[in-house]
Amino acid sequence: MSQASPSASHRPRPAHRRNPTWTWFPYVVLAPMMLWFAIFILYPVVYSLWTSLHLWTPALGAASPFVGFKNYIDLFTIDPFFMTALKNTLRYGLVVTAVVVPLGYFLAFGLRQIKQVSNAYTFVYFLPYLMPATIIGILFGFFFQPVFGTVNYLLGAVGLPKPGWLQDPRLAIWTVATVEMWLRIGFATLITYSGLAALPPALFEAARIDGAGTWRIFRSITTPLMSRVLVFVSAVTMITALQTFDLIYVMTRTGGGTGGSPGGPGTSTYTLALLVYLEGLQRFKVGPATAVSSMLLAMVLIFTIVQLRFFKAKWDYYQD
Amino acid sequence: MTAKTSSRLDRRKGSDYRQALWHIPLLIVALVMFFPFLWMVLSSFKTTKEIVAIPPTWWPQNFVTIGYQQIFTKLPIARNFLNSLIVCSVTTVTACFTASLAGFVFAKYQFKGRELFFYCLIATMMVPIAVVVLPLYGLFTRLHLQNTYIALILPLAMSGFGVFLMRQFMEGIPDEMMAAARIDGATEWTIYRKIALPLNLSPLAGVAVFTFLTNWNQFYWPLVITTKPEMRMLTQNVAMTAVQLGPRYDTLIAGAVVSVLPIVILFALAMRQVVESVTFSGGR
Repeated sequence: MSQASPSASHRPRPAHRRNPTWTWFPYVVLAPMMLWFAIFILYPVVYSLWTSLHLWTPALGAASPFVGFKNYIDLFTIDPFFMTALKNTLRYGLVVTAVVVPLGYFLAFGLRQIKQVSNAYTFVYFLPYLMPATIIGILFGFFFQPVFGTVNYLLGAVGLPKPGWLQDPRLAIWTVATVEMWLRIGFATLITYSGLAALPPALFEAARIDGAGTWRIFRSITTPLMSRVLVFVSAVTMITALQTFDLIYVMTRTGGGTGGSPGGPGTSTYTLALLVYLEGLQRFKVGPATAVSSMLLAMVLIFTIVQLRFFKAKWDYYQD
Repeated sequence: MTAKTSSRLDRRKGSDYRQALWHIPLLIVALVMFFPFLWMVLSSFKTTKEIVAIPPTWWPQNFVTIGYQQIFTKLPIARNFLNSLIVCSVTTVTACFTASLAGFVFAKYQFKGRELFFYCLIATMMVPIAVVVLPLYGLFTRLHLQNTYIALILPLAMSGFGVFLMRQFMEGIPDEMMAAARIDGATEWTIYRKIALPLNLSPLAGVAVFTFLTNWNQFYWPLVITTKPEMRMLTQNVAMTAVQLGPRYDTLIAGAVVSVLPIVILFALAMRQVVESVTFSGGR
């Protein structure tokens, strides 16, 4: 970088010749990777957008007639599943984020208060985040099983009613959301913890000298300084929760041993990512399916912009 | 101990009891986080009858390994394990290679289209898998590549997270060092191999572990592109047989243990790298 534009050369030369360190190297290196990108990211995205604007049939393929936004309008007006899936996805994402981020922040704050954060805490808190959602779905299917499940056993022991967690259509999506929270807590804790660790200690000393208590410091100094980190974690959590598929698929199918259909009971746990699978790969309605996936892409993109704007590099006030 | 506490600038003196108090919610959450793992391991040594027993038992009443025997006889579990191992190893190697190389050129070279190329590659981690499965399913079936390793591996072969992380670290390579190497006649490739790579092995280890773990857990893509049980990945097949096995819970839980064991071990061995790379870039 520092070798750019040497003063020795006076004659105007082609741009790449002016810099003595210019090489083809970056292009040679990146060419295969950009090819990969073109095939596995760009092509699917363009294909999805294109198909969502056409009345796609397997026979016609690329010659399918253009129908504009018909597929999208149909989703909102006549599609029997889309509104359920959209509502579920948004509520699921919002509730998971609204629980996970404050709870993670609380735990991170707690971890900052104790003398020495042992590796055992880090291990146990972060392990769920690395687990396959499918296996976690199976395990929690057992815990939420209405008859022999641990949860209902505990509820029964203290005399509370024992609901059918995955059998009741009003409850099922929130049962899955609870498991999603369990999976994501560690991530929120870890990121907010590293955010807290990056805050300048001098500020807290000054506040202490001025006589501020822990709660006052938390409210008036820590939280305002942490707002960027919190927005960032919220965006990332939202992005992952919006895409939920594995958990829903496994938990609603097995539900502690009862072989249901994915998204069940009925359509009560449909999400956008699941609807793409059911419409596109089970019912082969490619047009509607790609319209759904394009909507999902748009939603994820919005939160990705938030995520990038509040990225870590911008909240590193202080380095040890 | 007290001397150490009071020397810490951001802690209040004499607040040991407050710290002890904080351990209560932290331990409760830790318990909730760890309970499923403990339950899983203990239950894998129970019979199905005991797993569904009311009231539930905690410690196995009679210790059996029937579940573990079943997964090897009823499922192509060894093959699934091998599939996961192949897919994860190959993608880890390709992701590390491409991430370090791309990270290096993005950090240390000026060239036209640098920003564009960079954003394209990190877009890899932003585009939801649900968006790409349909078109890629069409593509791979037209090429008759269903149930092949190529189909399982290729879409997972690069890591946008890795490119991003490696660029951040590669920026630390001194320009003078590269200039000196060039004077000594080193090619750009040699600079990558002899300078850039050895200086950044630690973050690269983070990328490796993370890629391996992420791909070990893949479900949506393998579900779409495999139809034969022997071509499924490990966690995928355990999840899918959860439906097919019906009430053979002993087998199911033993399968769950086998499929998460490698992750637990890997995380225990490389916890520092995983935690560092996650906190450094805030996700995958």
